[in-house]
Amino acid sequence: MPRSDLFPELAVKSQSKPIHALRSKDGYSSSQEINGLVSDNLHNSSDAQIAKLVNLKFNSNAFALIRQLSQDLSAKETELILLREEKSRRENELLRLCNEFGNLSYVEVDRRLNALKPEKNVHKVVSAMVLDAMAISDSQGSNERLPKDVQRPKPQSRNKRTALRRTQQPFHKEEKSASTQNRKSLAEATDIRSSVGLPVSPNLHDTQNPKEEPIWPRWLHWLNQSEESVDLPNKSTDIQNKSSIENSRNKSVVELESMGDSFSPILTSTIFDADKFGFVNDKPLQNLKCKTSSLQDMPSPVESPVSISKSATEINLTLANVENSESGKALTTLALSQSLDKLKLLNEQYLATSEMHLKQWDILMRQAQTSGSPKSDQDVSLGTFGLKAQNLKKQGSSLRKMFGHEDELSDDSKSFKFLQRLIYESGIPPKHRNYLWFELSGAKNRAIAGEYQRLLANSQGTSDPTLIESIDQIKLDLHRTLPSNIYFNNQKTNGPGPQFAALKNILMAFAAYEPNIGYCQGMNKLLGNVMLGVNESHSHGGSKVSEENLFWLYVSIVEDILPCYSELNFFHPKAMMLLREDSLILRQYLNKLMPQLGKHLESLGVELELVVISWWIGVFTEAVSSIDLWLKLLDGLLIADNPRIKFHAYTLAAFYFYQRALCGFKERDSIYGFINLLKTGNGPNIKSNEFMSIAASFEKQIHTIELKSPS
Amino acid sequence: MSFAPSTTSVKLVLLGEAAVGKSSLVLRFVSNDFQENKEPTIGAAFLTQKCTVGDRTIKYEIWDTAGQERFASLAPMYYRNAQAALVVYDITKPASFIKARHWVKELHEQASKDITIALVGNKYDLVADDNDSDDSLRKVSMEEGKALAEEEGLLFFETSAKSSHNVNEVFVAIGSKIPEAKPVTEELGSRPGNVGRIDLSGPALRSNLSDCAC
Repeated sequence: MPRSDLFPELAVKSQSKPIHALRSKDGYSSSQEINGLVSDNLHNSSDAQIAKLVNLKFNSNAFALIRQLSQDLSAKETELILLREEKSRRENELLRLCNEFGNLSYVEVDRRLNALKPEKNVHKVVSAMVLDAMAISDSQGSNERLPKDVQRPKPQSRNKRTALRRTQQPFHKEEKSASTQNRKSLAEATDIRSSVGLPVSPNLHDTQNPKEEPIWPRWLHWLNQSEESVDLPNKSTDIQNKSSIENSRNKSVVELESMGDSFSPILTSTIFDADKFGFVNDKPLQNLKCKTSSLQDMPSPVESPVSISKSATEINLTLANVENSESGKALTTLALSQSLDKLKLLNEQYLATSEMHLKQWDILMRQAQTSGSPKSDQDVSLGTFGLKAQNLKKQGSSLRKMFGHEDELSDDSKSFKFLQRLIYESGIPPKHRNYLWFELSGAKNRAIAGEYQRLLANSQGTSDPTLIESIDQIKLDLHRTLPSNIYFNNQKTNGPGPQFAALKNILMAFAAYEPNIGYCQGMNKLLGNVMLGVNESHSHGGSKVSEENLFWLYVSIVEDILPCYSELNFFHPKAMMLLREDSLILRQYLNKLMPQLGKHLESLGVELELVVISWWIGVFTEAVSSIDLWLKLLDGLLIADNPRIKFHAYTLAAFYFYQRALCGFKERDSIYGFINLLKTGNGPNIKSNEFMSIAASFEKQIHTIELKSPS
Repeated sequence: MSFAPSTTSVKLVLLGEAAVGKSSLVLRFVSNDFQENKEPTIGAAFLTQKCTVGDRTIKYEIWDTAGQERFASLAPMYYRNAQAALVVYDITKPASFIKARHWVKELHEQASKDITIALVGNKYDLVADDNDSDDSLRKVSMEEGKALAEEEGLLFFETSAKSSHNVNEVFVAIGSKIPEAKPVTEELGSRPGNVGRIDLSGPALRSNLSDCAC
């Protein structure tokens, strides 16, 4: 058979790309933008409409229209040629890989691929793809490469619900099967990819055999259903909460809101091909982009709602076009329009939720900043929110009237709960981040005017051997801190970036401030990430943070926010052993809360501590691949009652989102390898609101677990 | 289509002072690549690479540890059950050689008795053009390295992760010193805490794409 038929799935995928991606490129799109009206489905228009078009846009010159159309056509042709070329190159490479690493002959690969039976009905395929895309944004989002219905058994009640929906909407079932087929072929491709170190499902080929499904703990099912809920156990009693859960169920990734924003005031991407945090797009990041293209290509909802409706129309047109060219039938089918409606609904829900969150934040901030009425002098010095928002717990009454939640916020800790819920659901929005970080970390109370300059001077001409040792180590690590980020490393000149000096000064001043803690590898990345978060906040209208205040923010995070071990600071040299002991406890939690994963890891002889220690020392910078998510983790730490437990909860949540991938590995080193990939930014995408609520529910359950004393 | 008759898994750990080039040696060995500003390792990193030695294929499971002194207390977690160790120093930094001496001592006292250790003086590219002139960047002579290696029964190499000088040679030499083990496939179902060999009977899909060029 011809090679081009080998991967129908890939072919469809790549051909569908122009919907989002190819529009913005080259002559085809620009010419279209200029004229604006030459749409894909001109053949559906009436003669009068075409005449009008010729009149208005082409000065009554029909030749111009023809020329335009022909130009568009040839541009599309070119795209197709390039796509075909790319596809065949990929196929050949995959075949080679299958042969070389999968021990599969060409014949075998051909046989399997032939068995896939590609769907020929275009609108079915498109519908399936749309549903697939929605399923991805609807699911946990932890690993879109893996077909989720294969990997994770669905909770019973959910199945029932789906079944109900199917009977109500007959088209749904048909699509489902088409979509499964799509996924299956995707799974085949996944199989091959696993040779490049990507995770594979353990029972990829057992899709037809439900008996083979692993036994999952009952509570996990329950968790899956209510992952957005923060107060899981109480939610049934709280109607208000319930509706907000319903709202958030379909909302998209929080990170979407800041996507596509041009960010840096100084170092715009016109100089470098850098993302909004200033990371130059090196290879790993490109991989990430490729994986998330379906999300990346979506227009930013915050930016302009208009563009969404425009793009929805665009999809509409394209789909209509696809349909027409294929079957010649009139316009879109019911299935297609319903898929589209669902997409639009998804968008609207996302918009509504993020807008609602932003509004709630704005109100909270305004309320707190203007009428926050501290009750004592001590409260004044602590600020409106205070360290870990302790002040909110005290002065809840002043915030009680918000949204008329009079009865809900009946006691003082409710306003704290409100903040907590906001942080879990949306994280601190960039524009409020700098203000809130400064308060919640306790930096506002810690800052002593002039002290920073004194410490900086001290660190310069010191003769103290421990301080010198710290400074030597800092100097060794400075130029290798976030080396792919333009703020710290100017890629063009290979010299220091604009914030290199601040990074150096703050680390050195800290070593002088706390000589016993000094400098620990990992602090550099922590501070670097904090600085990137502060940058982003400032570019979104957040307050400007001076180097001095940044220092106090950093000091407060290290001293008051990170966990302590036997009253030793997190980064204290002697705390390292205690950290190690604590990491042994994590295994017990994991075995209790995710027994399936725990057993799997144990059977392979994976030493969890080896992994967990690195995650902790790096304050999770090595545990999650996205800095957006990392910033939310820090937000959560800033209001954590018990940071040590929070660390456990975050770690468990990370394993929760990686477990599908991890359970797919049959070898120990694949597991370690996967975890090693995370720090290169190649990990799965996780929605931060889901991560935070999963972590919150783990946190609650941790308290119920009785620990065996480690032997 | 076919596989090497026997694959031996070898747990290998890298130890040495901060910024001597441990991660860079691994990167060169695993990906044949070099990065000027390699991020410091936090805790430890894990990578694998296969390497053909004679008629055997050796699969290295590499634990690349963080170099800062305060992480030293974590090192036993990583060198426990290791069959091989690379103790790395920087030939332009005498202090790193002293630290290497300490690591060798600790390994002999704490690690498995039959561990194969290679002493590696890295950053050879910095002195490659020198002719023993007084302003040479070299601060640890090759003789010193050799002497320590002979004294302690270690393999010895001067390497450059940057120019890839001698990097593969280190791993090949370690491989040929590792005693021939039973094919790993016979050791199914290894229990936690077992010696660092694992089930290789699964499909031959690996995280690393290519065998090393050695």
